[in-house]
Amino acid sequence: MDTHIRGRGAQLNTPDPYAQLIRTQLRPLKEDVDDGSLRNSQFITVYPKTIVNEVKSPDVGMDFSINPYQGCEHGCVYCYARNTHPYWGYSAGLEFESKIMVKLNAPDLLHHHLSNPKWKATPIVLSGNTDCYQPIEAKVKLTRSLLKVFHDFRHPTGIITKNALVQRDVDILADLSRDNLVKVIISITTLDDDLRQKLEPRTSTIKRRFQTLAFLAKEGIPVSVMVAPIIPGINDHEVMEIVRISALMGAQSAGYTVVRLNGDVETIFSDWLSIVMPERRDKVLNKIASCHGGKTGDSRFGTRDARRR
Amino acid sequence: MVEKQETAVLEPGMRGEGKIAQIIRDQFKLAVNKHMGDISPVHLNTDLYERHRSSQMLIEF
Repeated sequence: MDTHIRGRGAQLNTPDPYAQLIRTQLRPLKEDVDDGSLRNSQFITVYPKTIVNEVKSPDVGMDFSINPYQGCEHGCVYCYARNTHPYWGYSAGLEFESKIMVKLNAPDLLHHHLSNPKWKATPIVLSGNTDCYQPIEAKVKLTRSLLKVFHDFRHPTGIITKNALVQRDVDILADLSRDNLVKVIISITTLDDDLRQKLEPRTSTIKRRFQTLAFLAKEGIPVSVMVAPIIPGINDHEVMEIVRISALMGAQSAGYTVVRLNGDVETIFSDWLSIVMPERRDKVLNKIASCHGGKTGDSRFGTRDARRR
Repeated sequence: MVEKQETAVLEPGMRGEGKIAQIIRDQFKLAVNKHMGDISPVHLNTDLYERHRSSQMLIEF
């Protein structure tokens, strides 16, 4: 039996049809190899032309988003964002969590966007795809710079994260919240930290996430919990307790999504199940499929089971 | 199937198919009603940006 790669979610790389083409284009860009504290992840500086994305899916509850990073070191094995990595020339598997693109000009692009007289204020959410407080943010501070831009323009924003690093920016968040310009959503998947380490290995511990909810609420910042994703057969029995503890910590509302295994995520997640909990593999996959009309993945808009309150 | 999709669009919170999805939905509703029932969600302020921008444009003019 294959052994579990500790500290990583995906246990393999899925094929990337665009790799040859796109990596050739990326080669001239500066690449930083971290010295060990982030264990062999590679950070690639990129300069996109735009940073605010219009979110067309009605499933995710946001109209616009910003992702200062492409790829995510958190390595959540179920992450739907994995499927975007092949468009950058990397695999949705291990490379999604170890080859991270850093969009260094993101704050300038946001400043430019908010200066456009045609822009109508609509909340722009940080982390629609990849986590804006993933580990490299502690060094690069791109998310902090973006919050400063929102602050300067008095523009509403939201944050979704699985990382306690959001506490670092409490000064800006508290100021934004005084004018009702920000809310923070902490995503909590399970109460079992052993499971968390395997499922979403480089996220903050569960204890730290609840502590983050409490800290932000105490500072007067509106906080919510996102119980996401619910994976039937793995964490569905924990919904009540996660909501209860979150409410105690100060969460004002809650939401959830049921996992979908679209594209390469199906291969990555099935492989992970085979290694981490082989005895439950088929049962879990069957339960996921039963929530999506018999298929583990379902990319139709409006059919994902999602609820927010 | 078509009817199911239309329902999903109209009722975004009640999507999902099958018994397991229904159990999860019921559990979640129960949890929220029990523990968060009396707290109203936050609506963000979009007016300040417009006012701020208008004042900035006046200064630049």
